[in-house]
Amino acid sequence: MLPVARKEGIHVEQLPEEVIAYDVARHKAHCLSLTTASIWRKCDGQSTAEDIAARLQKEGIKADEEMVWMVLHRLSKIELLQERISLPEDAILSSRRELMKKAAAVGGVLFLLTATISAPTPAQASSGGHHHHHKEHRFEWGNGQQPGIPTNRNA
Amino acid sequence: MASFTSGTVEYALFREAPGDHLDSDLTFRAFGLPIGIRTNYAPAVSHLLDRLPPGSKATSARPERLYRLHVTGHDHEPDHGFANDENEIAKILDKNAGQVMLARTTDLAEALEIFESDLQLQVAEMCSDKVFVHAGVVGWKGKAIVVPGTSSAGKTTLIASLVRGGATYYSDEYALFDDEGRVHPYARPLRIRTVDGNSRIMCQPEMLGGSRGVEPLPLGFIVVTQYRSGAEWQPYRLSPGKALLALLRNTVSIRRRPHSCLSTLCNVVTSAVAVQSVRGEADEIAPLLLREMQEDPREVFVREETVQFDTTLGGNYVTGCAQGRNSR
Repeated sequence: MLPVARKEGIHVEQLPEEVIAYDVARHKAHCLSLTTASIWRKCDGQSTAEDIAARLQKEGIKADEEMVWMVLHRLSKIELLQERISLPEDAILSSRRELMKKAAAVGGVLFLLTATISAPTPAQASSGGHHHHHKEHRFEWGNGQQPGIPTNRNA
Repeated sequence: MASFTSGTVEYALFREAPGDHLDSDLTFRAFGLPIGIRTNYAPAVSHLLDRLPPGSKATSARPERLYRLHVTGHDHEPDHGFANDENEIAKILDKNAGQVMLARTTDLAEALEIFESDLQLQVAEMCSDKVFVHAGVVGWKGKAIVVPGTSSAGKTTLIASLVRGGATYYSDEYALFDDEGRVHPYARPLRIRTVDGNSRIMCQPEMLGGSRGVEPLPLGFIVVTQYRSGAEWQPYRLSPGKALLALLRNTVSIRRRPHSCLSTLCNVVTSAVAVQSVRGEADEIAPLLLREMQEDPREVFVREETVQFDTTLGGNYVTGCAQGRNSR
C-alpha cells in the first residue's frame, strides 16, 4: 500500500523552518520539520518510499529510502496518513550508529523531528484547580437515578 | 437526596446558556460576551461584581450566559421565585436542562472563586476578536514577556517577581492576542497563593511596587517554565514551532476556532524569542530574565534544543536536553 497524506480536516500553517499541521477532528497539533513535511506532501498514493527518497535527493536532501520509511512510520503513527502503513521488515536495517551518521549528513536528527500536543479543552487550558471542582459538580449527582442536586460539601 | 443542615448558609452557583430562561438582575458585557447575574441574596451582588473580568461594562443586551447564585439558610426572605427548599431547587434544575451547577458550598469565598474562574473561561472561549492564551504577561522595554502555563506551574509567582523587578503588569491569567499579534492586558489583581498553598489572596500590582500596562504590546519573549524546588535555570531556545505548541497547549478556544487561533499565533511566534527551562525561586530568575531581555535575547539565549532518537520501529524521536551554553 502506498502512503496517502490526509488533507481533509488538517489545517496547515507554514513557519520559516517548520510546518504546523492541526488535526481538527482529533484536536492535535503537530510540528513537523521541513523535511518531514516535504515527505508528507509527497505521499500522493502513487509514490513508494524509494520514489519519495529519489525526489528528495533531486531537491538536494540526502535522505535515503530507510530514512523516508522512518518518517512515514512516524506520520502514520500521528495519523497524518489516510491509512496506517506497516513498516516492511527490511525497511530499516541500519544500526543506530549508522542512522545517526545518515541523519548528520542531512543536517542532524532535527530534520526528522515531529512534536505533537493534544489541543486542550477550555477547562484544561484554564487555571489549575477550579475546573476540577466543575467536573465534580457536573457529574456527581445527588441520587444517581435522575438529575437532582449535586452535593459536594467537602469541596 | 441530601438535605441542608438546619441553620447553615449554603451557596449554590448555576450557569445557564441560551435556550434557558435568561432573566437577569444585572447584565454586563465582558470582551463582547453579554453575561447576566441573578441572585436571591442582595448582599452577594457586590461580591459578584468584584469578580467580573477587567473592563466589564453594564449593557441592556440579552445575556448569552446567566449565572445564578442561590443562597439558602440566610436571614433574608427568598425572592425572585427561589425558595429555601431542596425540592424547589430540584424543580429549577429539571426546568432548565441546560443548566450547570458549578458549586454547592457553605463557603462564599469558594463560590465566588468558582464564579470568577468559570466566567472568565466562558469569556475566553467565546471572545471572537482576541485569542486567549492561559499565561502571565508583563511589559518590559516596549515588549511583552509571556509565560504560558497553568497556575500549578508557578506562573503568578514569577509574574509577581517580574513586577517587583520593574516590569509592567499585564496579567497573571491570560495573554490576549489580537489579529496583529499584539498582547493586550487582562489586568485583574494578581492571585497569589498563601504560604500553605490552599488559598489565594488578591494583590494589586501597585502593592508590589509596580504599575499596570494599558497599551497593547508586540510579543518579545515567551518563557516556558515550571517551578521545581532547587532547580537550576538553564534556558534553551525553542524553535518557533515548539513555541507555538507551548502556546497552543494553553489556548482556550483552540478547539472552537482552530483556524483563527493558529493564524494569529503563527504570526507572533516568528518574531519572538522563546526559551524553556525548569526554574527554582522566582525572585532569583526574574532579575536575570529582565536583564537578558534588556539586551538582544537572540544573542543571549544561544543554546538550542537538541534531540536524541530511538531507532526502534516505534520511531519515537525523543526531545533531549539542551546542549551548549548561554553566552554568559
